[in-house]
Amino acid sequence: MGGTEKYPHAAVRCQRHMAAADAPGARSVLARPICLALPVWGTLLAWSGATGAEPVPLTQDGQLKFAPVVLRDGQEIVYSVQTGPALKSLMRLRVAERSVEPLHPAAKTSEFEAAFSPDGRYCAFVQSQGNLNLKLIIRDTLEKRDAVYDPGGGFAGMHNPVFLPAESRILFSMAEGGTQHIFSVNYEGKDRRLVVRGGFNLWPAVSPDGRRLAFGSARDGNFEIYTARLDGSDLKRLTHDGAFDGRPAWSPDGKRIAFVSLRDGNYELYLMDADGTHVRRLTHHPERDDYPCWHPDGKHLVFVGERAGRFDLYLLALEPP
Amino acid sequence: MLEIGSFASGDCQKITRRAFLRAGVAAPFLPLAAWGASAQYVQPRARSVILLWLWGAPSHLDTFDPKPTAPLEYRGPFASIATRTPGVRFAEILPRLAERSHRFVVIRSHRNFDSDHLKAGTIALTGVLEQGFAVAPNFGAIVARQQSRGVLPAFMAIGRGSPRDVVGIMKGYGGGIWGHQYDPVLVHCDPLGQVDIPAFQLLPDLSPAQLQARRQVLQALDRVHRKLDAMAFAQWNALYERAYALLTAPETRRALDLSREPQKVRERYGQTAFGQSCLLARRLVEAGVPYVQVNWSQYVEAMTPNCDFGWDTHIYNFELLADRHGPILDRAFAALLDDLQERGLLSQTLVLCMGEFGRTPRINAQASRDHWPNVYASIWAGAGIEPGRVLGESDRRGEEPLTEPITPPMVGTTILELMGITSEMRSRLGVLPNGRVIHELIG
Repeated sequence: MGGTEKYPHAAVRCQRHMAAADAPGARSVLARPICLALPVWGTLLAWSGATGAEPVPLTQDGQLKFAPVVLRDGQEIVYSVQTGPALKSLMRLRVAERSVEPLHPAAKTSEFEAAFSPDGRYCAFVQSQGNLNLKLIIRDTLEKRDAVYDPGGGFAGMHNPVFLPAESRILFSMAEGGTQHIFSVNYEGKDRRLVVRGGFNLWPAVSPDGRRLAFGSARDGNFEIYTARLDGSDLKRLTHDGAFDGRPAWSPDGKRIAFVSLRDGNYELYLMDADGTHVRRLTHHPERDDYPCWHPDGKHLVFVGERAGRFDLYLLALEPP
Repeated sequence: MLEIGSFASGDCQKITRRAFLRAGVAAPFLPLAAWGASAQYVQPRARSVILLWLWGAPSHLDTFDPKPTAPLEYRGPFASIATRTPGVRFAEILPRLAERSHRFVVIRSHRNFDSDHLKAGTIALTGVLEQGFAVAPNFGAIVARQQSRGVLPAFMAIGRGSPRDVVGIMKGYGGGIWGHQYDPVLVHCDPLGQVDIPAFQLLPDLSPAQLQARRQVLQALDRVHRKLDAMAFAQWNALYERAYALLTAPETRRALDLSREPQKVRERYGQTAFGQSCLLARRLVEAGVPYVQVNWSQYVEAMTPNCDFGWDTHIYNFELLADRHGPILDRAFAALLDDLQERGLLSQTLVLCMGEFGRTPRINAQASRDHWPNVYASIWAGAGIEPGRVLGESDRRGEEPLTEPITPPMVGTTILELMGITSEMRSRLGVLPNGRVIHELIG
């Protein structure tokens, strides 16, 4: 289980490997024998090949995809995809079968950017409910009940929900007063608290130990990656480049952060140590590589790759740290 | 500065919006002299026009006119990147287009005269604001009336439906006061390159093969007639007749069949509806269609139930542009320019990319941008356009033009002039009396 043994409550944004138990009859993966995950992992490893090999495609439909999250020790990946001309949907890839199904088959409006609580009981996602008006849905898959964080009428929307591992709260970014802040709410969608303010702040990711937050911010001019304590204090800037750096994803052992950057003129994946040092480029493709997401083994990344103009999920094997 | 017609462009900033609109509405009734006896002849260079219509209005600051030295609440979070044109920078989300700036001209001083999508869209595509039922013809309709070629429709639109918002339709989409026979023939192209013709959606029980059997079609038409009132049927029938001709003509069926393209070419444009629509546009002009409008979306709204992700980014401006809109546009438009160039078509095809206005330079409460008609940007390529330049300039915050505003009548006049539709012809047709050719575009 790699780093997840060290941080038993790990639930960083792209490493929600516990459960996506929102399907009817599904149960928390914590109740499942862990050996169920092993063949799947073996399959994944076989697909990904040796370190340094070409990324292995996990989907083949080529539809426009965003924001994958890996669940159930790698057995499932939930991601956002444009499924129709006017619809974004959450889809679930069952890795072993390589089958894809809607996460919410009854959804009639756009839903995207799913996150899951550490125990797999709750799923948070963004839902389009009105004219340029979106809500944060917090779905209790056990009680089959939705809580809603509703910013009110008028133009409003939020992004990038992520669960805090040690508290029953959800972080997300949302604009207010002309800037984009990071807020938190409880599982009832209430008790909103301001976590990070100042400039444009997006893509919150919580360290596996639950102590620090990584996020992207344009507070110093353009999108760079920062970390801070969960109360917003002790702000540290990790990247210093004139191009877009965004979508930080904390490794399961908490030692590294994957991110995407335009610094070489194209969306590519990069990796750095959690203090911002040892930045190295992971992908080298003339098309887009984006939305890095850690596999819970800490040795692979899942990401959205554009190949021949098509967007699919890929698995990338990493060099040992 | 040379001018055509009665519109003294140097006075543009001084005329009021109301006066501008009055002049536009009065156009069909103006005497011939109003179109200007001093008209300068511009060598027609364009055999066809492709208009990439970015419906909903992209932010000029976050695309083709970044303001890297403006305060953060104006310039936004994107960095700017150098283009191939010395001294010219684009937003970083458009690297392919930046690399191809030697193929086109950027105009950075456009001005529209209304901040409502539907009205501004009509002005941008006709040069004139509608007055009740009096809607001027789309530039494409004017081309169609003058340059119909054989069985091919002269004015085609690629998209899901006529441009609209959640409230209603944009009236300047087609023939206007000339009638539905000058509306574009609408075809829809999905991300996989599958093409369908929305006019046939009322004939769901007919297969494509059956559509060629006249008796079966007539029976189906009779059924449709019973469903619709007389006016609705007349409108649908006008569209249908041309769509039927389109489908039954072998040359157009070939043009609509993207499977005839090499896979590599299809891949270049990207597996998106807009990307494949751009490829379809290239095939249509190659087949001889004079005017093709590629609609980014049917709806302006960027994120609204049942709306197809337009450029109206009152929320999510920076996220949508970085995640979706920017990369899709960058890939498809760059591929179109390369493809046209490689096939020798760019020199005879005018390619224009624009929306109906720009977006507020000062970022709004939702950390996004609202409507801004005062200044915005466009891209022009091909057909005698002298590329690798910027025309016009906006101020340091992107709020107002610093140079002569380029207005929709000028856009339309230039399109028509390059297509060989002279001021005399325009006069006879009663269109665009107030425009002037943007001579600075032309080499």
